[in-house]
Amino acid sequence: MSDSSENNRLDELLARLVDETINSGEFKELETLLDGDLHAQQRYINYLGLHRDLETSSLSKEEKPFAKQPLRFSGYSTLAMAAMAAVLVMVVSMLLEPKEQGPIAHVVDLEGPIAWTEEGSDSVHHLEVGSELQAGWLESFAAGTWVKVEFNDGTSLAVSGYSVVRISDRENGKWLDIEKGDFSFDVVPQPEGKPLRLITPTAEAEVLGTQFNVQANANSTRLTVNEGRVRVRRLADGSVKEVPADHLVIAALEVDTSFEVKRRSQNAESWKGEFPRDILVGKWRAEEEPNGLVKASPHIYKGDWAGPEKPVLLHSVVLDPSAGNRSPLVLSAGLRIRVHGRIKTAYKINLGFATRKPRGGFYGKYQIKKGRMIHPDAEGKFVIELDLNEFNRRRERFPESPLGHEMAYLWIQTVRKDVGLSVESVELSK
Amino acid sequence: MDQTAEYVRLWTHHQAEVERYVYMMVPRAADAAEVVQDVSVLLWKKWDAYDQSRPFVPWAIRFAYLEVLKWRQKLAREKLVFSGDLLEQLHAAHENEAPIMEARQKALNGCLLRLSEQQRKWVDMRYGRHGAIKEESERSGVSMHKLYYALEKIRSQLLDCVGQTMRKEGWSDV
Repeated sequence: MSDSSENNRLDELLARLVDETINSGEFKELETLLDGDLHAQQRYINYLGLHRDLETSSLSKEEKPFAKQPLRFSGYSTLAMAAMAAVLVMVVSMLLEPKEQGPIAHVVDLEGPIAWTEEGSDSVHHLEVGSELQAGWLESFAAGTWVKVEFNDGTSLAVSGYSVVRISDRENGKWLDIEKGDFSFDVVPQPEGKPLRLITPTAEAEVLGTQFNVQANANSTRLTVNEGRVRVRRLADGSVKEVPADHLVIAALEVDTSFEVKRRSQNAESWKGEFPRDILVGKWRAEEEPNGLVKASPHIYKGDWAGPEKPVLLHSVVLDPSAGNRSPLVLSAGLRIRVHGRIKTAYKINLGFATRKPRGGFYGKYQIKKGRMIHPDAEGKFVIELDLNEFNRRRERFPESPLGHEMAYLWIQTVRKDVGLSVESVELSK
Repeated sequence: MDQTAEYVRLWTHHQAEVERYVYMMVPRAADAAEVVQDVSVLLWKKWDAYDQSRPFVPWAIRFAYLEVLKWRQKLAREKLVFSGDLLEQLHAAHENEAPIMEARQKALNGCLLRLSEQQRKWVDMRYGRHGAIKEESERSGVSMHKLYYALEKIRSQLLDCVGQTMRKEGWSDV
């Protein structure tokens, strides 16, 4: 629903909705227009957001509230009032506190859109090589993003993909609070009694000095140790495992899942995507014939913070070939990528992938030049088949060839326009 | 740090974002206000389990979504309630749109300045003071229906203007 004339009916219904004059027939019609139509949903959200903004901006100027019911803390109002007073005291005492410690780490290298929010501040900063960091939140916003941070003692952390981590260095050691994402740690020996602490939504780990990788999301954490030993506690039941070199453990939210330390399996030389397990970005539609498909998700790519790129709307499917407990996929000569998918109209599709070193750590990003023009058949289906040597490094500083390294993730996307990109299957084999 | 004070501080700071989300899922203002109230109470009850090193808004919105679903279940038989499936889709769409909301708010400020004096007056009446539209209708003799129709057009105009501004600023097909 991108054409303004097509928006007319939707806008009429949205106006009745926000003015609360909509009848049940119109409401049903609105529901039908919104169901499964991303553009209509986007307009709905923006329309209601605009309505809300107009309400709140007027509220800030006028004394008379438009809202029909003032919000309250229900039975907690007295508590809330007391707390408000406490907040004032707290704010004053915070202002009187001594200045925070100096930088605890700095950025060694980076690529793509990354935001840094210093603790206690609402301002988001862009990062560049050499940026000094105190405690704060690091967020990377795109599949192709990565950043390497080095603590003052030489311990390093590489973050890639869609990741969020809070970094701090406290009296009792370094703390890494991971919300989600893909991380590779190289931890130099830590002082006695001050291990590096790692916290994810499903696990905690203490590290004295080792090299390991972490993939975490809200439901599970996969920790692979390359050197040394890591002690991992599963939050779901408090059970603890020691993970030695060349072993991994997966800590999930569900207690009845396996929490066994396993030897890291041999590398895989081919891969066939299994959905929804391998999806990093995209929506799984199991009901789509014949075997379900992954619908591309819209997101904004803002380019490098310090770079000249303008924000652009992308529709992407991003897949992880080593999701779950799969062996890492090592790229070798002669491998071909085959993608079966659907689009509504002829359009350019971009394909690319990121790699990491066999023992962790970002390596490079590779993509086909200028995308590939795709002409779907009468049913909207398409097939792309590419040899690995058709992919070029995205930056001069990346190694020319990805061969011999692990594929970290693979993206298939359209730029700017939503042409209904969906992926039915992806395969890498010779 | 006083836990109650910290909760109130975070809630006060981020309440508008949570309200905005709830209002999107529950468009009837009175219902939305009730849901937001329930969310504030639920968050307080869950406060002990909140990891304060993590961002507040995603945590709060997760519970807000649960409250929205609870509200929907309660009113499932009513006709003006979205299906659970559509609410799920809107929840996902909100996640995609949330990062650019701030930019849209800034663009809206510029678009408001482009309205005619008459349009601006009607917007101020509609959003500034409850009942002002009715008074204006009685005063000017213009029917309520016509005034609301004018407001509908103004909102569409503002929405398109925000979209154009965003595109000019390089936000592509937003």
